Amino acid sequence: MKIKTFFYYVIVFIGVGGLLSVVSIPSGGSDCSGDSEYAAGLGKLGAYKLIKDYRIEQKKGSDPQAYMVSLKAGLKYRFLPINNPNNKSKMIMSIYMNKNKGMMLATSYNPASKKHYSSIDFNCRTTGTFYLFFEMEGGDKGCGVGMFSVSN
Amino acid sequence: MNRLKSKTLMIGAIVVSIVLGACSSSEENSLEKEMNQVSKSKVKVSKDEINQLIQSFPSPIETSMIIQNAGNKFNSELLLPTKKLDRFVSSYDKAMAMGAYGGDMGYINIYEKSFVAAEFLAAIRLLSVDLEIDRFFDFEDMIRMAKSSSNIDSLQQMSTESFNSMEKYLREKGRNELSVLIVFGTWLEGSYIISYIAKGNMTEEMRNRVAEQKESVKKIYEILEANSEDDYFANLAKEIKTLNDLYEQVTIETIMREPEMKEVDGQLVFIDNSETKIVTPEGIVKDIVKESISLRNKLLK
Amino acid sequence: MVKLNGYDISSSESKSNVGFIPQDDLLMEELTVYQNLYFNAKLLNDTWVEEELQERIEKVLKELGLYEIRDIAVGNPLNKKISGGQRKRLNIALELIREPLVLFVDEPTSGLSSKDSENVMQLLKHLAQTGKIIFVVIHQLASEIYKLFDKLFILDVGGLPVYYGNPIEAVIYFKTVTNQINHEIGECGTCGNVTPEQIFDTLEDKEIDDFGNYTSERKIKPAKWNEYFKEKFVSKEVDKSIPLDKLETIKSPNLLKQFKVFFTRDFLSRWNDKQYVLIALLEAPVLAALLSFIIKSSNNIDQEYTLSMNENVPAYIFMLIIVALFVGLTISAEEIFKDQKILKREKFLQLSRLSYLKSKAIYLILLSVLQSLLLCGVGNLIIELNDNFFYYWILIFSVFVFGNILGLLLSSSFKTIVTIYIIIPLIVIPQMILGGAMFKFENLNKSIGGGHHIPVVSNLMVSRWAYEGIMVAQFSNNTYEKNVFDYEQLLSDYNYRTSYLYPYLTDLLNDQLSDNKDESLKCSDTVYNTLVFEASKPIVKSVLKFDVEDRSIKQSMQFIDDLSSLYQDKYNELSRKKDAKIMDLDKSLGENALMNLKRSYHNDNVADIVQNALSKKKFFVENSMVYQNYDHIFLRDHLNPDYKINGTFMYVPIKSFFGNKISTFLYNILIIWFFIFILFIVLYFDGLKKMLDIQIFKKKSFS
Repeated sequence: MKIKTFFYYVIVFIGVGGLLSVVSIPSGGSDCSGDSEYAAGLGKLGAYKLIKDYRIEQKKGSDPQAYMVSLKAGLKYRFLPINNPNNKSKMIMSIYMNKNKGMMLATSYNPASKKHYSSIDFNCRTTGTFYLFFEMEGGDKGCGVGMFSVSN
Repeated sequence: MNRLKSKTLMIGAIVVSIVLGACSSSEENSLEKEMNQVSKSKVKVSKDEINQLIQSFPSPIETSMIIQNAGNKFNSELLLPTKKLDRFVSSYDKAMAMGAYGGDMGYINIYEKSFVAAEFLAAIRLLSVDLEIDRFFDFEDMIRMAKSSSNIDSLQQMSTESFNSMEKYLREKGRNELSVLIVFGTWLEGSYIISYIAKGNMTEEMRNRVAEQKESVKKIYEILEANSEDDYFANLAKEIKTLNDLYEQVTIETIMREPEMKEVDGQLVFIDNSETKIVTPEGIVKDIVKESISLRNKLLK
Repeated sequence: MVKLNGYDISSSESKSNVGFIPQDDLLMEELTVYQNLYFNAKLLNDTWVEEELQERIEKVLKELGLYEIRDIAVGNPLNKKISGGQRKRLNIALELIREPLVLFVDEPTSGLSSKDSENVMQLLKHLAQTGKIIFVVIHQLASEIYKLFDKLFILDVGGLPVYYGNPIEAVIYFKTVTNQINHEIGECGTCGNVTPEQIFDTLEDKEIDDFGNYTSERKIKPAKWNEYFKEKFVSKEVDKSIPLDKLETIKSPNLLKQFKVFFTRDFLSRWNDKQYVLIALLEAPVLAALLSFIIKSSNNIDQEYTLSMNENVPAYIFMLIIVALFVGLTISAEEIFKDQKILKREKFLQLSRLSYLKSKAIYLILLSVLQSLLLCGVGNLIIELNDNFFYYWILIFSVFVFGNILGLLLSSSFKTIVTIYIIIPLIVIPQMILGGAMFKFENLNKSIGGGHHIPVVSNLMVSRWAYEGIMVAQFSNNTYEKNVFDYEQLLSDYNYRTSYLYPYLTDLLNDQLSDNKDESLKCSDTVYNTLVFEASKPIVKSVLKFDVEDRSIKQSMQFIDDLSSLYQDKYNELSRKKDAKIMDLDKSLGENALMNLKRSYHNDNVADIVQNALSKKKFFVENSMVYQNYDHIFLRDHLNPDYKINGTFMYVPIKSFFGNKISTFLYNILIIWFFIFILFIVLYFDGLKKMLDIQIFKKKSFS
């Protein structure tokens, strides 16, 4: 009798454990919620303080997304483009002077060296409004999280 | 026998009157009937541009950092009083106040004065409950963090995150006016802090900081004007106009130059080479400072 | 078969003419000698007018030598105001007013001095000489008293008659039967003293054993004495030729008159006890003052006191209820118990139990009106709770009356006063625990019903009904909230849906989809049932259609989207309306007036509780449907017959009463008075006492 109950409990335990593990695994695949990227990005901030995060989802061939930001002279900003692990191409985060791009102030992709940087610092000397651009390399589809933080 | 009859009648009369009195609370009140009708006019949706404007205001963290950079010490007297929160009567007042306290939180966080944080968190909590947006804040955690100075970073991050999610929610749910007012409140408090400090210590640096607010003031004025169908916003726009007019006299010239790109310890650093020239006529900054202080006290204190 | 003048002894004619004077005196201690006689007489006979009544009383007083002390209060054996002899005579007087033909007297001389004993017995003899038959049970007989009697009837152990006849001859009889010396001498020749002890000595004479010691065995057993008795005494035939007087039945006064007498009697007897009056009237306001003064404190220490910031208000309300229950119980606990002896006597008079109970109840109710006014008045005044007084008073008054009737029930059911006072905490403590104030129902043990609904056992507690009634009234009816309640109610409905319900339903559907991407699948029961209910609401029906046949996830998601937009728009619209109203009020009432209104009349803690604001769970799922778990003060979904729920929520504003919608306040009052009514019925039929007796009876029959 005792052995029977023991096995019964083992089976139940395995069953429950299995169920829990299945449930807790994030339904991967094409999940663009950005939560895991966000958590990863927080870890890279160091002494910088988070101001805002942007959840980006790009379809193939779509235009870059632009967001207005305010920057203050004398402060150091750190921008982090965090890619979703399923991205085929990498996300590029850049700061331009105005909506139509114009002068570029910072970018996470160096076309000369073809290197993508996972974080870029910007030492601001002018107070004003600028534009943050998000795009996927080659206009590909993809998603990720862009973070914008500051330090003095 | 007569007495008994009259007594029963009296009791009966009392019972009936109670029943009648209580029965006046019917299930559907007249307000509900009104709301149940199909809405004639659709709620005005804010223009996308205005949305963008709202999202692009400097955060209180930045404001506080530049103050700290200018060598100023923490001054608790400039913070907005947290007592008598019920002076904020309508949800517009509350939203504005919430933004202002958020601004104060930024100041407290940057100077790492966590022991003061708890009462501000309490104030924000009360206001957010009234506005039914309290679920974006985990107040218990935050107040706990405020009690220990070693957690100031987490507290600060949590505050930022909470305000961000809340702002996003308000936008999504079409409660843009609240979003606008929260931003307005934060900005107002920030400009007040700068002015207050500048008043006591008018260095070149502080003068410039006051002057560079020009663009923000203009943005605020634009946004308020855009919503001025609503009396409340029209009134605010009127209040801001004086300040805006003063700022018109300030000239800011920016010379943009290509930034310098460096790689430091595997980290890509862009150094801004641009330059700003700020020209302020005599006494204008003093007037601006005075006006900012009085405006904030009028609207929030 | 025993007959009195031809009437069966159990007939009302006989009963009206038989009197009983018990050994214990059954007097109302606080009333005077005169008053005791007066009220007793009024209950006896309806036909006597006031003057005749007074004449009779004076006559009896004079006859029994009580006239001089007629205005002195009777007092009790511990605190005597009149002497023992006088008390006994008063007892006799109470019966004599009626002028019964036959009188049974139990131990008239016990506890009296020999002189007093003689007086009483002389009196009885005198009465007998006027034509009454007086049966006296008596033990310690002095010789003089012994000789006053006409006949002696002795019963041995087991109730067996062993002698009937002349008292003096009894001595001779017993001596003769046992062949004693001097058996022809009944009384002492020289002194004339009779020693009745001789009879008992002879009767109970014990056997002597071989050693000359007395054993415990009797020489002659009771059965043997009884045999002798049956041989010697033959019952004489009643002479049928003597004409028998007709017996009159006493007509008791009607119910109303009885009620008046009971009431006046009670009232006067109370009124004369100054200590009682003082405490009864002061108890409530003193407790109220103590309670409210101690808890008068506001959240911010440096600010002045405002009602809105007093965190103790919900506890204060609950304490008012408990105090009312406690005081109501203790004030009434002794009422019937005290009257036990008097009730015994009055059983003979066949007075109406209903009138008696009603008089007690009315007296207590009137006292409760006063006490509840004082309790609520003083308490609310001190903590500055300045509106809704009527609601507080009515509910507290109802709790008082409940305590009163329950106390009466206890009073009439238990044998000792100590038992009653021990039972009282057993009643009050469960009311405190299950009332819903000290412990939230969510946090109670599941096995007694703790959870999202109100446990059934809590619905039996009067404290739960009173507390809910006051809390709901305090929140929704205060001067400030009245202006905004309707807005807040609708906003709560809308916000619950857009912030919690629809996102949750969407999550459920997404979970379903994550396994299988087919949107044509049936949605879960929970989603379906909830959506069907949502679709039935008037605000939705006029705008959106939900096909109940189509259970696909696709339709559900679309519907939820549409609902969200609808409610969001309504929310925004109403939010603006509410703001406009508030700003209007602010303008019209003047600077800071609205703020002050809220501070003075609204309480944040009451609001938190009725809105369940501190609970993290905003909804729960039960029986495949999602239910709201907060803001029940605004809820009206439960009135909808399609809202199937396995229990009730606390603090709802409106309840359904046999199809009619009435406010919670009224509904709860009706429930409390229903409890009171049931208790009164049980009291009338002595239900509790009978139940307790049955228990004891059952035990005995098996032992």
